[in-house]
Amino acid sequence: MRPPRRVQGDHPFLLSTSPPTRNQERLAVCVLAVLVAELLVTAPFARIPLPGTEILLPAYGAAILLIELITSALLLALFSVQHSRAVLVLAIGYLFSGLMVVPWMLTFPGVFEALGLDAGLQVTASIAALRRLGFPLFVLAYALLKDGPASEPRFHGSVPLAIVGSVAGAFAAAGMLTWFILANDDSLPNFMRNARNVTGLWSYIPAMAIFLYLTALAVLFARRRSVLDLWLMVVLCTLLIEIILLSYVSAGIRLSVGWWGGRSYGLASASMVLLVLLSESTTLYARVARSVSAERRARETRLTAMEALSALIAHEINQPLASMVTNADAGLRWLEKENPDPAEAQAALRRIVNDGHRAGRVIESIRAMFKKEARDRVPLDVNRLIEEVLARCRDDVRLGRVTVETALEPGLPTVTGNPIQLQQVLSNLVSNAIDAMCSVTGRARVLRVTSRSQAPGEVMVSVEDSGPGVGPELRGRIFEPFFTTKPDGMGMGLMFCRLIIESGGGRLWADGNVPHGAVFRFTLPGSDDGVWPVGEQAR
Amino acid sequence: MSANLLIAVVDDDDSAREAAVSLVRAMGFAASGFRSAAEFLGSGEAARTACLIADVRMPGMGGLDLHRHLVASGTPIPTVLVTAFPDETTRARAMRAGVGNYLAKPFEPDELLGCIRSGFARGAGEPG
Repeated sequence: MRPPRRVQGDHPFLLSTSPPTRNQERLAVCVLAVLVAELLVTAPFARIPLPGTEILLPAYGAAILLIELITSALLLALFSVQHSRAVLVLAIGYLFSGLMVVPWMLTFPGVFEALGLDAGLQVTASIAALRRLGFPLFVLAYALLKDGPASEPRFHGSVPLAIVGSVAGAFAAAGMLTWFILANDDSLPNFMRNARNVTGLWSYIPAMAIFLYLTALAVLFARRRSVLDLWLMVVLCTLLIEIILLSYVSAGIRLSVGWWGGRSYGLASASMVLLVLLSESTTLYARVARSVSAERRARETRLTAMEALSALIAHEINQPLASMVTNADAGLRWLEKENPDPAEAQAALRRIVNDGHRAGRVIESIRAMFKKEARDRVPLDVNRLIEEVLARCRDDVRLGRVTVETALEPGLPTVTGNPIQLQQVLSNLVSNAIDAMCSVTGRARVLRVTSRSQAPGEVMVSVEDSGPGVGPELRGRIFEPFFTTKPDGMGMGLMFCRLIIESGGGRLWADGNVPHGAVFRFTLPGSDDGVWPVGEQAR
Repeated sequence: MSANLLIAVVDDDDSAREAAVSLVRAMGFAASGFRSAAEFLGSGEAARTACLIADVRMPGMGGLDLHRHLVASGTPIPTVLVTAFPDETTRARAMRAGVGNYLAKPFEPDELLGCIRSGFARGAGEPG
């Protein structure tokens, strides 16, 4: 009844599963560097009070509320696709944190006095403490639940029910905690000396928060894998810097330069994290959409070519075959008659011979058509060919989060070949390698293309991947027509590749890569002696 | 009636046409081959043709068009349409046009014989 469970690694294009690129890691480090710089710049002025700035608090609170709600919605959408409990927990963490901003803001001393909202002195601080300590706990739960070395526990129930249930739970928890704090105004811990300054008791809260941030950061760092993990680490660092500014540098004085500094840097980097997440998911979506449509187009053209070829064969071969059968029937009838007529039977047999030759000529002309293309040979620079193909595959490489390494020997001997066909071979091998690595998690996805010269004047090209590899028992079979290991493959690619390479006098074969993956190697004979006949240099 | 015994084979493919003519003659009928619908119509043999075996796809007028043309000109001939590429659309069109037989190449000799006989029966039943 339910769709089959997805196995780990079949979502290579989600924020929570795709590994960050080097650029994203650099961007994250830059964000942190800017935050630390801001901390240092603000520090000397941190304790200067800024009276009257209560008026800015509603704007700040509304922004935080919106950012955290949008982040939560983004994560819930991710959960509905990926069915990861960890992502659900994190989404609820953001939702809870966002919801608790509302009572925090409404009870902040002196902000909403006009509305008659004037809660006890300790209420705002207690809510702040709950938010401070609650959020890192959710992140910690996310980091512990998410797929580490072992497979991640998957959610198996109804997704809409889980989302509605946990969102309702977050609202209920936020509502009840607020009600509890408001109702027990008198028995709350004494965090605040007055509306601006904290007591000694408060100092435990930032200390605990810092401990939780660092713990969550450490767990997340040890188990980091995805873009989401990277930016969550940035969020935790931001919160760390924020709390240092709020509680230590500004000595816990509310509405001081340091206090506002912490708030505004936190807000700025929270919006930046959200923007990065949003733009990442949009980019991922666009890339997936583009690759899907490209793939569909490729499949359509391939189908059309196949259909045209089979129609041609059917048309040209079926006629002589049908005639042969009818002629044979006629011949039999002539011989089976009461007065057999050998002359008529002979004529029928002669026509069968002609039909057989006719069918043979059709096959020959189809083969010649293929060979003619192979005869269009020019001297080629293999390294340039490789670079052209890799440039054309750049989108696929980025989409598959694959690192490309090349080791191209300079000054390779020139080879002779049909550039279009060789490009087809190379791009086929490269896209096979990228496809093979889309299920790889937990190790680098590396595509390595090597070229080198070897005796006698030959050039060898290797395309290596770090995918699951091809078992020795399949290495011969993958070149057979209609054999494929891909769910939507036609099983023609490698067969054509081998045909092209061998018709140029080279060889194409598969090996195992060390320690992971597959290597496809092909050789191309050099063109030292200028022109060489087709197929004669096969070794 | 005895003059009305010719079976005409219209097919642009030489080998297919010769094979069919030979087979029909081996069955004991008089048969004649024509390269195209125009050649058949211009030969003056239509009047004594009892049954027409025509290929569907031919340059110029195809087998189905030839049948329609004969019907429209008031001289219908029972027709067997043959084709190396049978398809349902053409079969349906042939049935609507009153062609009783639609055979895929290569056909079974007995199947063709049955078609010819039913054609003869229809031809004999018609006035004139």
